[in-house]
Amino acid sequence: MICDICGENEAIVHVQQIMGGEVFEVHMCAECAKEKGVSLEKGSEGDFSLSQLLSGLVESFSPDADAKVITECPHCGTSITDIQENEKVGCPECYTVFRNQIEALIKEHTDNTNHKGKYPEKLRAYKAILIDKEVLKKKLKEAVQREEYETAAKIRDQIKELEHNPHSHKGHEG
Amino acid sequence: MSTIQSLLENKGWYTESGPDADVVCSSRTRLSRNLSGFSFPDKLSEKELSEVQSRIDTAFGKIDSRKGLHISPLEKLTPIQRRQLIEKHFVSQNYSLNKDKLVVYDRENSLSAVVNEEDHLRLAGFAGGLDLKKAYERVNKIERELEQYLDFAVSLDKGYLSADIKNCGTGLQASVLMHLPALEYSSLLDRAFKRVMEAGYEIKGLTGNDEGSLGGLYELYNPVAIGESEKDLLEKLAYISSQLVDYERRAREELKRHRKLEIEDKVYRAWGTLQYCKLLDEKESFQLLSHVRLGAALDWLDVPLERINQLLVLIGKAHLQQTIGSESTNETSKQVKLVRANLVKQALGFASA
Repeated sequence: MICDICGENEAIVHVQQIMGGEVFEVHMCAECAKEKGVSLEKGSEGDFSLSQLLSGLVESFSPDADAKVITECPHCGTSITDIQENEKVGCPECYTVFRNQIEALIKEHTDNTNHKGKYPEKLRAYKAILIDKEVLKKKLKEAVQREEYETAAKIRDQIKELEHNPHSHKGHEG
Repeated sequence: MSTIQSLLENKGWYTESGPDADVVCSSRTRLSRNLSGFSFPDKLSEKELSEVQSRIDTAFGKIDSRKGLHISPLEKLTPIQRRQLIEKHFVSQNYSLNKDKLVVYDRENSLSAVVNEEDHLRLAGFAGGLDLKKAYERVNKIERELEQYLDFAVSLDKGYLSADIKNCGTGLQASVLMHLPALEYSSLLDRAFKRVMEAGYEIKGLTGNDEGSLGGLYELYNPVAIGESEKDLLEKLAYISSQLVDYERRAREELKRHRKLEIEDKVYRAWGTLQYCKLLDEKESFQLLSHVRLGAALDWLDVPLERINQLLVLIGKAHLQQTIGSESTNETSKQVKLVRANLVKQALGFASA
């Protein structure tokens, strides 16, 4: 299998994520994995927060993931009442643990509660392959169904571009 | 120790000319970033805090722009140098008291960074006049370089994660420092501010207390960092700023038409006082310089606006102490007032070097 990121080398790292019944996979060669900070040995220095990224992914596909009631962040101990009072959180995990409550707090200030700005360069390749590609595939299917072949061709080119060079994808750049 | 002349050669964001300088002193953009795998500073042990600081320190030491940067723990700076960082708007008063903390600023005095304040890293970029784009480019360039060596905490839908939930998303807070004396004299500030707040922005006096602002200076900024791209956020803030600029200009025209004598009196009285006074305290100099700035913007006085922006930084005690070469005591406080008066006279062309 060929690496999804460089499109050249043999992939040896395989990340699989099941979201809403659909399976997303990324395959990376050793070099790309290293470049992206994905550590091949567990717990080694420079470990990239892949799990954090993927947890974000899971949630973006299943909004009611945190069904059970948690009042304190298991990672930093910050309580939800503190967060609601001060609008301050203790750690990045709080954003996952108290996802719905934080969403509501942000909503008090703005209607647009989703990030529309840039991402770190390191994450853009993941985002492009994991999400944007899937979104484009879906659009392609719809375009074909509507027999809009010109649009479909354009989308197919975009997907091709994404597969060959995820960095060049103009997703969100500030 | 240095002379007043060398103090006036001190360049930075406060000496830069920029668009709409008749009303806007400067623009600032701040990016908040946190390292993935660590809690936010408030929840970290001393050991973890120093680990975060050391990672950021190391990253600054590796980036291409490092040669143009001063990277130093505060304890390596003299108390006067530390206070000058506050006067340049690079660090807060509280931050300057933490001797073990790190400070970064560039040789052009247009960029600064603090570590482990509310977030792990806050970068601030400055530019003269209404030029948020330039201020952002300065800060974004360094951030792009740093991210090669640091893993920032980020999620797909909430963007860059911050200790303050209003700050997540882009992590970008942009602000514009405006001089609004005519709106003040015409009692139109409340109406102008209402419009700004209806558009979703906030504005505060530079001193941040209830007495209003010192010298008619106000800071306009975005309270929330999520929901828009960096570009949209900056463009919208620039747009609302330019509306406020127009509002102030119209108020100035009105004053010239209906209350000219009164305003002339304020401007020339301030001009005269600065020319002949011997001792100047900080608050009074802000007020007088505000009148002079208005006079310069109306072309009544022949002073470059950037000169006045520069003075608003240099009249700070720590900058003046640099020319005295001693720490503050009761005896030196009179000396500081004397040097301040001399500095202003020289800067406005009343006295030669």
